[in-house]
Amino acid sequence: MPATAKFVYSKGYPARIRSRMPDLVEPPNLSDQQLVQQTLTNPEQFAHLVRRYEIRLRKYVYRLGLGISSVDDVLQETFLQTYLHINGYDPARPFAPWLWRIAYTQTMMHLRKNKSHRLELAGDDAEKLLASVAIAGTVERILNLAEVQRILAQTLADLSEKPRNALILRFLEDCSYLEIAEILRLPVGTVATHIHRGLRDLKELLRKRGFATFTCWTLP
Amino acid sequence: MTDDLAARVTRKIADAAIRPHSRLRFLASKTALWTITVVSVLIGAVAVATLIFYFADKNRTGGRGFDEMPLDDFFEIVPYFWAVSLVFAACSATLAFRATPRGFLRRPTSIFAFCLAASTAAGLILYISGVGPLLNRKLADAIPSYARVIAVEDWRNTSPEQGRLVGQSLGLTDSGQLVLRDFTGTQWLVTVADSQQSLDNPLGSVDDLDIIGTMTGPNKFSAINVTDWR
Repeated sequence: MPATAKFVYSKGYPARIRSRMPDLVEPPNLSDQQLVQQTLTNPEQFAHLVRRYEIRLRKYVYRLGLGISSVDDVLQETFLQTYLHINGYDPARPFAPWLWRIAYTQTMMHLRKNKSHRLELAGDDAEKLLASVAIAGTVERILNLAEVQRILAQTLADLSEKPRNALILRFLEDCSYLEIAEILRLPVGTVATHIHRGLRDLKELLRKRGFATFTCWTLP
Repeated sequence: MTDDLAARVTRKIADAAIRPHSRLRFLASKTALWTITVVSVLIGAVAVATLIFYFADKNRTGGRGFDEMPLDDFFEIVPYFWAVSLVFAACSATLAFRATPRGFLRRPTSIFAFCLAASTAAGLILYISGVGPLLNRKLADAIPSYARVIAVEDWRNTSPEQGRLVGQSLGLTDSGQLVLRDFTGTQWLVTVADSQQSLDNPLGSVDDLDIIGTMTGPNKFSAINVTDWR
């Protein structure tokens, strides 16, 4: 998981979400650990950490199935919990997986409380997922992209919770196995098993929904 | 565009005067988890040492006559509580270790197996190094009432019906049988021909002996194992 907050989030992302995102503010040239240290003496510094990770976290909690209306509330609660527990952070470890763990916990709590799991996927997410199950091709040229996204999101939602979350972290968040283990609090071997099973089930479900034939239609 | 989240979060922190939980709190929680893990493994070790003592010394401790005591059934199953407590201790150690900051990276079954192995190893060390008897002696020296409770008179160890005869050797007969007077004063004729013997002096010397075997008739006993008394 790269430490920098610099990335283009607009490409392939639904416009209704894009419109709710704040402008990307370049954080000061300090490491996460340095910002955490500064936050302990000056709470104002915490704003830099929030800005550094807000957009990526927003994407992540949305990918977990949080409705757009709840994303802001969950993110706010995530950062407040992060601030409350900042003394529990081990500076020898990377900050991002620790923060992602809090976001994951807060999102799961929200989803269980409200029973409103609604998984949607952005265009680039759909492509990444298709690539992960080796159904290659520029699918948007063949099918309506929205349709592909809808089917993929539905398929992903049909997976059981742990494999789904492991796949999201591995292929959409680009996390390493160790980072996924830290976020989901599972042994690395178990993470590998969830990813393997998740991919197998995803492939199988996609085949049942006719995705295997799409590769034949792919244009050069 | 929505309100800036960073501004909202920092404003909320300032308005509600939210302060991060103290470092001491996290340190205490981490220490508590490690303490529970270590203490659980040690309790498991005590359980293992007690079980080894019970089964290795069953013949010696079996003569104490639980049958004559109230709650005798309960006392008979007490050693098995240690077996259950060993499992509980390993579970507790596993849960506590899993909750430590990096504990989740290990598989619960591996942690459980490791805790069991650690308890067994520590229990063996406790048993072999004789910590139990040493503790027993120290307690008995320090607390007279404890010494009275644990004292077992010599005559109580003799229970031929349960396979144990303890007393003074008076010599050997011409046919090679041992004449023994137990600590209750009863004289016995003991067949020792097929027995295993672990003695400091030759059989027949005037020594106190501890004999395991079976009662073959009135005042007759067949020995399986003959050792010096204490």
